[in-house]
Amino acid sequence: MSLISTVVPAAISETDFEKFREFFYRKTGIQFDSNKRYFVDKRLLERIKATGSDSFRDYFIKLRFEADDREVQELVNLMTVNETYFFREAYQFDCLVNSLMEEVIRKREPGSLIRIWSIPSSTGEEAYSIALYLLERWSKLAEYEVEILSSDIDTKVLQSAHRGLYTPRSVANLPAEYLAKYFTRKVDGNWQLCQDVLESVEFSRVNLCNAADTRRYRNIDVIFCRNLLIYFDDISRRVAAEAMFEALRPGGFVCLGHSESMSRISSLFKVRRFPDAMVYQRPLETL
Amino acid sequence: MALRRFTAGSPVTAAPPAPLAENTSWVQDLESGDADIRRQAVWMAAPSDALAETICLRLTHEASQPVLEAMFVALSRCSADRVVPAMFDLLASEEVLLRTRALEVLEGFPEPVAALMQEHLADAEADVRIFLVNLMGGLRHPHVPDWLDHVLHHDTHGNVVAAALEVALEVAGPRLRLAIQAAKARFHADPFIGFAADLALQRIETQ
Repeated sequence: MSLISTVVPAAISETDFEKFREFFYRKTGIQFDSNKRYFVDKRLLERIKATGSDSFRDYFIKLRFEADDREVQELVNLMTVNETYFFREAYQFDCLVNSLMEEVIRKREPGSLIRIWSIPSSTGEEAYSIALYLLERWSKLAEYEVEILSSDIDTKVLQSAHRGLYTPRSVANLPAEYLAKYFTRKVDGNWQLCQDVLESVEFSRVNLCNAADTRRYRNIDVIFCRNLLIYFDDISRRVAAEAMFEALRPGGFVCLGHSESMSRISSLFKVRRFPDAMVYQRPLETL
Repeated sequence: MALRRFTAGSPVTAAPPAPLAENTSWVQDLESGDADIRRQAVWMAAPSDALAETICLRLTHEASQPVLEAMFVALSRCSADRVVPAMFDLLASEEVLLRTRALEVLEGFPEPVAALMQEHLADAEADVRIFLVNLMGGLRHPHVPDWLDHVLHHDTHGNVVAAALEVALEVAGPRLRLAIQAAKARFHADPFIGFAADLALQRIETQ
């Protein structure tokens, strides 16, 4: 019979924080600076209590030796920041429909498959924004088959993305006619995305820094990877850049967040300037 | 509408990766004449001592930049034992990319690098010593002031000392005051060293 103590440690020591930080980084590529102590400690203490652990040490042993990574996933869900909204940094979606898709189809037969990957998906707004943009603003959509894939390391947000139920704040940037056409307003004031658009995105759990997770993503034409790399350290950023390079078809494009730069991470990509945005391109031929 | 539909519970439709040559290991794939296959082999191989050794042997022969980039990323995830000594050796390479990437990899191994730093600061090549000083700037290690102190007091090459003063501008504390003054005195005829030393001393005084 095991005795489960109800006493939870009051604080996480510096040594324990370092241990946890190293472990979490190895698992996810996400690096926590010391200025994130409050954020991390609060959530760690929450999980120590929730798992009935006596101490950080007790909890950490469980974490490292569990067979199925379930507690790791709980931690990932707690530690990753997921705020987003529809049509965030919309100039890149403008670039997609005004420039990138035209380049993608330049050497492709009508009816061929075009693949777009949005990672991290968070609660789905970015991927669904891409769908709405293509439906409403890309005149050649009917001539091609477009596949929208979206991935995140956090399983809770993926579940939320599948549901497609959004707050007024999340849809605030959408034109009224899009809301009317693609959403239903619920009694509680939230907005339910229509089934057609919900079914136009495939969501999956992926760690961008894990080659085993990303290996099935190949021949991607456009990747949206916005405001993810800012959470990574230099090594993880390079790993992520490699993963994206591997995933892209030669000539494929990457869109990063407005404060992110691929040039400081990797020399593999070419910078391309379009009227609406600057993006990065995998060269057409391997040198 | 020409967006592909994914119904709930439908199988994943992402196309499987183009297979590497079947039934061959990554070691053989690294010998492929196709750069894409070599790069994928590096990318898909799990970090290991064997991978690190194999990659280190190939670095100076690999002509494809994307393959090289993948190799250095892979090395940064392997254990330090095989990687750090090989990266130190690369600092003497004539190839800028190899040296630059080697320094980046070394930055990720502060403790193993610290164990070898003093030894390599005695390298006969001034250029190598300059790279090591620049590495100190990016290395998060408490011995950085000690190494800078050593260079400022003892290195005989003006460019190495100048590089050390530039790093000292960023990381200097009162601990380095005497060393900076000593460097200024030793190279009293060098106006840049005098300028950089004065700036570093000013920085210390205002801290």
